[in-house]
Amino acid sequence: MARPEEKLRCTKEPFIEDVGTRRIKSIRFSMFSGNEVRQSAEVQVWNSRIYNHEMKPVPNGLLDTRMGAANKLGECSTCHGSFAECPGHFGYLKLALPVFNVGFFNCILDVLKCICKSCSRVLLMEKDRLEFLKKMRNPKADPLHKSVAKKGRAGLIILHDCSKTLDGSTEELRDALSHKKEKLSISAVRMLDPAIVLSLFKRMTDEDCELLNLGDRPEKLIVTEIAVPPVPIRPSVFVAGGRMSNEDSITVILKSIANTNSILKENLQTGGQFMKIAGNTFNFKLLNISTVTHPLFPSHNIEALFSDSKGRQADFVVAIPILMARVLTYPERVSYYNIEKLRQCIRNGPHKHPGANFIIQPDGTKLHLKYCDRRIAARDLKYGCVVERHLEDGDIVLFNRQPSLHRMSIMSHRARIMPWRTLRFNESVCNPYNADFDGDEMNLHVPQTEEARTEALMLMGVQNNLCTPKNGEILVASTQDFLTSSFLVTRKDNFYDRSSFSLLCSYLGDAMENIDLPTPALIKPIELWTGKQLFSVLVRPNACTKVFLNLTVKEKIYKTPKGSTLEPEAMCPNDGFVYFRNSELLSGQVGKATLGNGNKDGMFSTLVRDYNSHAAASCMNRLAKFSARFIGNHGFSIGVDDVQPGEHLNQEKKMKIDGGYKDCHDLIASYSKGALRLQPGCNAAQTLEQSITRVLNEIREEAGKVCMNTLHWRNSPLIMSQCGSKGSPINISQMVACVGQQSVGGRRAPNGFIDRTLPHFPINSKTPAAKGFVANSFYTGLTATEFFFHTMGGREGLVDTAVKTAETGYMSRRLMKGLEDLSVFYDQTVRNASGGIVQFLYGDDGMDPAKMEGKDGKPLNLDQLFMKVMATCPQRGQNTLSPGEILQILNDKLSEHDASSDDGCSEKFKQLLTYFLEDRIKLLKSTRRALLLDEDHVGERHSSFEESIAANISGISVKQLQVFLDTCLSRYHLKKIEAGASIGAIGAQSIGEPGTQMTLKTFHFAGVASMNVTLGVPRIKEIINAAKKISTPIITAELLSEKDVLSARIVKGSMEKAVLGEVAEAIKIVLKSSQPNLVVKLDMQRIEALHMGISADSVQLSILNHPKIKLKSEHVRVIDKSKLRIYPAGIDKSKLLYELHHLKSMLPKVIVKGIPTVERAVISETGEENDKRYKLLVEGTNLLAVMGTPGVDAMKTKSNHIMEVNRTLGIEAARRSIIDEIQYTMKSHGMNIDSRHMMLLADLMTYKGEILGITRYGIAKMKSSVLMLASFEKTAEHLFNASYSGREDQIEGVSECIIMGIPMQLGTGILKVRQRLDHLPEFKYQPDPILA
Amino acid sequence: MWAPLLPPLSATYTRTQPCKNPCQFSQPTPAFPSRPITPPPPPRKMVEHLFEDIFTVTRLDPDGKKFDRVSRIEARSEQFDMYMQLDVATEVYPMRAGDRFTMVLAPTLNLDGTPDTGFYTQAGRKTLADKFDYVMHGKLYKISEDSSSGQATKVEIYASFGGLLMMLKGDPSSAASFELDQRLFLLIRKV
Repeated sequence: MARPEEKLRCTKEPFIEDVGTRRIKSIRFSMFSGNEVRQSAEVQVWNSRIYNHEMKPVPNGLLDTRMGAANKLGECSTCHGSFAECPGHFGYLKLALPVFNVGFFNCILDVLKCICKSCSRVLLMEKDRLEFLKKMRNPKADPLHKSVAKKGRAGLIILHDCSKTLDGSTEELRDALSHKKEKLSISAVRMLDPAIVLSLFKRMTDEDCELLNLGDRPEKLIVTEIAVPPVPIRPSVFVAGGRMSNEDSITVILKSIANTNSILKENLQTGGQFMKIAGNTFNFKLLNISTVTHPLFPSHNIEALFSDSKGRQADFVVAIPILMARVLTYPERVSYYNIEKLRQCIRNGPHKHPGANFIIQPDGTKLHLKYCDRRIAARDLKYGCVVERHLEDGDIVLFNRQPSLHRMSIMSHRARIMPWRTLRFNESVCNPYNADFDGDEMNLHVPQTEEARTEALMLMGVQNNLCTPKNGEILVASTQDFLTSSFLVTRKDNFYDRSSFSLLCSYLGDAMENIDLPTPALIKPIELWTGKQLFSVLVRPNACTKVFLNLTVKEKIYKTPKGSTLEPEAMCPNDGFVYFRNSELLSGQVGKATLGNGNKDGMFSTLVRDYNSHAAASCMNRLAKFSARFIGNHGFSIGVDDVQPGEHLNQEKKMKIDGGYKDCHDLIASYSKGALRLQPGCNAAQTLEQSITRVLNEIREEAGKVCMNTLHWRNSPLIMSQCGSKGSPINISQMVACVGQQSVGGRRAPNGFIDRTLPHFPINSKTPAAKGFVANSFYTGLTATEFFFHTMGGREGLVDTAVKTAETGYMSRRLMKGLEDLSVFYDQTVRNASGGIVQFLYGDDGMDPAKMEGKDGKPLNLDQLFMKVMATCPQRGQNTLSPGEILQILNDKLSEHDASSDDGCSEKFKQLLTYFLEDRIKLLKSTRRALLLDEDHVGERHSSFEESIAANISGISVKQLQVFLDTCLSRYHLKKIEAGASIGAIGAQSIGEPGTQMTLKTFHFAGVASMNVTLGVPRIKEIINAAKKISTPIITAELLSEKDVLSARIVKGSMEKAVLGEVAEAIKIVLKSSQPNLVVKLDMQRIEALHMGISADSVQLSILNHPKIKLKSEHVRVIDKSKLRIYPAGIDKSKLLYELHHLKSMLPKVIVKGIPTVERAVISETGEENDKRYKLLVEGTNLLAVMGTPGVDAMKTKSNHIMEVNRTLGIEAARRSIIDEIQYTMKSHGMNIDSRHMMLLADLMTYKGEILGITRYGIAKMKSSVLMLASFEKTAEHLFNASYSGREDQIEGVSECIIMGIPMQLGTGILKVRQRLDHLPEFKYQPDPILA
Repeated sequence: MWAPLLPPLSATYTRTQPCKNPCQFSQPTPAFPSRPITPPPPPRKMVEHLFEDIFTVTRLDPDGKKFDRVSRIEARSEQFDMYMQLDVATEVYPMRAGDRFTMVLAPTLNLDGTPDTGFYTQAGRKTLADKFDYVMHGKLYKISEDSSSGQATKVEIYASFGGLLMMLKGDPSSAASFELDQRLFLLIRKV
């Protein structure tokens, strides 16, 4: 006898994810037949009238009460529910004649093309039919393949039709093309009206339907009954005192259909005109979309999604005005611990701040505190009630700013309720939101359950999002004033006496922290502390704080002194080398590189990595508090005197500008004389432009340099630019010295008037001032023309940003749609929602890009780590290791580690570690060599002073090495990506978000002047779209003999196309009585000089191969090696002259040499003066031909045209080139993105074996889900196609889950907590029965 | 625009005795650098300085004057022929090219040689500093070798006194007694 299943007994009710009683696993798309429509409907609609004279809905009218209530007053007469309760019921409208469903019109056409119009069988031979049937029934073929097979057959049908083996070829209404074909048989044109098609379809066999990939019976493609949607979705509103009603647009359409239908019915019964039917079909167009799509979506099963996890204290706070806190509430359950607090809240009511708005009793009744006696309510408050109290300090809120381009655009903060009307938060968090304070608006959400709060805190807390997954750089870091004040305070000559130093120390916290006062740096003649000591206190305020920061950073102001090749490091005269050793700031004036964002080895990144996010966050808070208070007292402002140029600067500037102008005039003069020396690959005008631009840029740079050098160190703009808080040297020199050349579209100002920029200048003037050079500074003021040029440049920037936002937004959306469902699984593979593998190991090493410490996505910054280990783990007199011992320990460790349970680490990482230690050994050896010690054998430390010095300089003790290796390995394992990480979405954001920042600079020079490469958003778009034709295809050809200019020239000559006109000395018509002909004489001198290797024979071949000149070999005769004679082919004497002239005009265009698709080739040189290396940059396509050109190293030759690489070298090469090209584009905009994201994108684009763009077409081939595709673009089309072929959609992807309201299988949703519910042994208080 | 951060120093400039305030740490807290601790020097009977020599200032600010109140001096020693670069707070202790001074580096200011605790006490005991005019406290952070000049290898010792840096270059034998991460007192007296 089975006992009823016992429920698990818990002390506390466990949280069970509520997925409702039923969970949607999949959706099948199909079509409604007339019968089905009728069955699901409650009422037949035939009356075209809506209301009767009493303004009551007419029975069997469009607003029949059986279909639901039309407004708040009505009641549904089917279920007797009110407007709010009853979702409505369908009705149906029987059509007098069948009608094509507009959505299926193309499908109907396709089916008709495939079947016989008299017997309804498929137009196929029996053998073929069976074969295709077998293919269709292959369960392995995915739906995409099936549709491909169908297309192939459509081609077959057309053939069949033409051969006319079957009689009565009938035509589709609008198939104009076949109309023409069928002109021979006059009677063949027959109109197929819906009724005929319906009868044809009804006769089709099921097997044929299968063959045509029809999911259902074809007659359902034709509408016989229309489903009338429920009344509540098309509410009716009374206007004009209830005498008239305002109807929904659906109702209006339905009304006209019903109207036409009834007229038609009457006509049919009375035998009226038939022609009206045709007009009828159009009427249904509008309707179908709304009626057919509606029944597809079941309305139930929409659930909120929550999940649970544990939380921890966060430090970042957002200040919320009381006004908002009174509206935003949190439902808190009353318990022993909070009842008194909540009673007070209730007494305060909805208008006083720590108040409450509602009480929800355990029975579900909701009490509004505005309309009741609050004292009584507070008194009667019971445990278990839920009080919707106002937001209070410490509540978790989600904070967000649009546009939400990456996941850090919405983060959770702790609330802090404050007076007044603004949201306030730590300036350090401005960066991830991209927020400033010029009137920005932000959104605030309050999670409403404990589970949601915890999850928000754990996953979205600011502390857990300090680093961006884009590349692992720190994103939440100090900005603006914080940098300025840190820079000011750590200046080398800043000294503080005891009182002022103590005061500054007290700024660090809110009098809650103990601070250990360090020994003053200066003891005599007076005790003084330095600003750097203050910063050391900031990092480690007291001895109990176990934070030992170790790092070195080169700040912007770091410079090696002139004439020295040695790195001065900490001894930098500008004090630009920041050196922290065991949390002590030894040297360096800290600025953006140390404290700011966008750096991987700054102070906060190091704290996050070496310690934890809490250490970094608390340090950031201390810095924020200190900075705000310090700079408030200290003061920092800017005025006109800051931008006033000195006398020296004015003189220098005048000299520079005069000199530059003279150079330009000289250039222009030599240009107009035609004496300009041309630059490779440029004509005279281009050369002039380039030279002038170079000279003018020099002027600005020189002026800027002088300006920066003459500024006093207290100059505010200079300080800001040096510490990196705001502004650049260019900004300063524009204010003080010279604004410089204004550019529009990367050139000097264009000619907006006839041959001149502005009417202020002479025509064709090319002088600097006439082409937009602004010699004045913003301080001196711009002249009128300068001002106009400046506005031109300014306008371009504005237009660019306006255009780019829309473009990048769409790009981000497409990327997201393409990558949304990719996630890491427990076997470390990256798969899409249906389990298809995209990558076998994420990013080839399975590491989390957010946690990468090193440059270029290396997992660890070994230099920094080694330094930390050496500093925090001193040798303490221990003996150091010899080189051999170091390698021995390393190898032991690695092999021991490999054998351990957590499956070792990648080869690449081992190699990194080995190389690093080998470098250390080299250093060790060089030290020992310098101190005249044995290189490979290390003696006792105390044996001699040299040994002890060597140990101090570069010795490594056993302990140090072991600690180092252990840290490396354990940290490596912590950096592995977690299973479930929605790495696709992160990748899409990481590529999409930087797109918004790519402004201007759409071109740049690829190594050589004048060879432009598209960059920026247009280039990214090309790559992602997998464009067949790109704007600047360039092939980089490496040469076999890369040091030889001559061979480079020869290869270039053989690639660039040369037409006969260029190499011929003359092409003459020779009119002789015997046989008139054409004589071509080649310019052998020129051919020799350019190493073209063209002879008369090769020209003969080229002429013969030319597609338009149809000559045979006997017509083209080679006289000698430089002369050819060409005889026209026609024998017709009358046309002879014409023929000759025609040939003469054709011949110069014959390509005699080179690759036709190559526009030009340019030699680019790299390397030092005496060790130059050459390669070719080829503008154009045809990679195969370039690789095949003799002298080119095909192994190293690359193209930036991805589709061509795919054609030539295959899909793997294409994948590589996608990665490289995106990386290159991003790099040239100064953006650093982890290559793992690019790999994922490239893998997604190539994993099907062909290159699929992230476009509507490409995504349709990648994904199988109909709902996902419908939610992207062309919604109706996808849905109609799906119902035609009866597709089934497994609800597994992200979009589908969101549409269906099901938690998705990504991130925390990848796992389900299951509990085995064994039968609990029942505790019995009685002895076992004797008889069982 | 820029108010000086310091109170005018001229009044207190000649004051040689530190003020008499008691130490602010009343309870025995762990030594400031709780970890890592510098290795305790081997017990010695007598006060032994790490380094002592007489220097002559050869140049002020070799790379140009960058800071108002601090100058970098270049100096050469007489006894060991050491080369030194040192940042000196010239506002409180002016230095000119050609000045001669005695410089002592010591791990502690205690006359009996007891190691420095890391805490600064202001008790009016007799210390090593009494004999000197200019005393700085800092940390030795780097020792490296310099074999670039081609001659005999020299050893460079780097120390930072709260951001005021010192680089001492000379024969390896003179660097023998220094240890990495050592607390250093730099004492100067003009001669």
